Amino acid sequence: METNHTISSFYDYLGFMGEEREDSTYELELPINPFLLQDDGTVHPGVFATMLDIMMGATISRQTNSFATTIHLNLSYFDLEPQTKYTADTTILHRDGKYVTADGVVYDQDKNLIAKATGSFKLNPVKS
Amino acid sequence: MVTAVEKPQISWLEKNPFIKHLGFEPVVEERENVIAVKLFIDSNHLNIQQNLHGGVHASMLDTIHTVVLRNVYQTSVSVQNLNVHYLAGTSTGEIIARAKIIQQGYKIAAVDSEIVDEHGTLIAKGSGVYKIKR
Repeated sequence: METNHTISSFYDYLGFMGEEREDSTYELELPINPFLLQDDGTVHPGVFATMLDIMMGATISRQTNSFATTIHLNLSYFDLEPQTKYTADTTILHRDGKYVTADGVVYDQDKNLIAKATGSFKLNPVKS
Repeated sequence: MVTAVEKPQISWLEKNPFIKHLGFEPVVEERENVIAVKLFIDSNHLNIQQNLHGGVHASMLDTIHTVVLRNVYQTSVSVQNLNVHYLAGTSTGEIIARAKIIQQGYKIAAVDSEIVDEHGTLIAKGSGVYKIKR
């Protein structure tokens, strides 16, 4: 069964766009829309939490042919001023049976570090 | 596990596009004079497995942290770190987030929080460290 590991209602609702790379990782992009901002003009931290959760979950799911359920996320934020475009990247750090730990990072259009996450995920095999 | 405030100030939330887009609704629980944030889950909030998307929990926890801190400090705050434990899945109904300030410094504050559903089931636990913009 071919599963698109990124697309969900919430993904569309925030305006994400993504594509799978040849190495089974994903490239996720987010154009800045006014509804992603807060009253002080900064991007809501939840936007980057969402981006990292999608990105890490999708990469793990693709590489293990499973659904990845998030158990825990620890997020650090470095710059919430709005930029023109964001991209995210994932590194799988460790797998032990059904449990995976991964790192995710978000960069702006100039490759400045915007946010970073470490997450724990539980794998549920995709039923064919 | 909540922080009470004397006169809740939540008018700034009306001017916050992201909070409005997601449908987070501030509520003042008058019995204890505590501010909480409520969300009625709809299909836009779900992930591919038709469960509440993890980004919604994180957004909601950051929102309640910010609401509680802004009421105490009367100035804007900026998140440095956010920690989220996902404890139970949910996909329908109403969920509510509450928070408590656990360290109230001059320029840095720490907050503890939780999200429960309408039956009182603990959905997520959060904590955060925030810089106070002085």
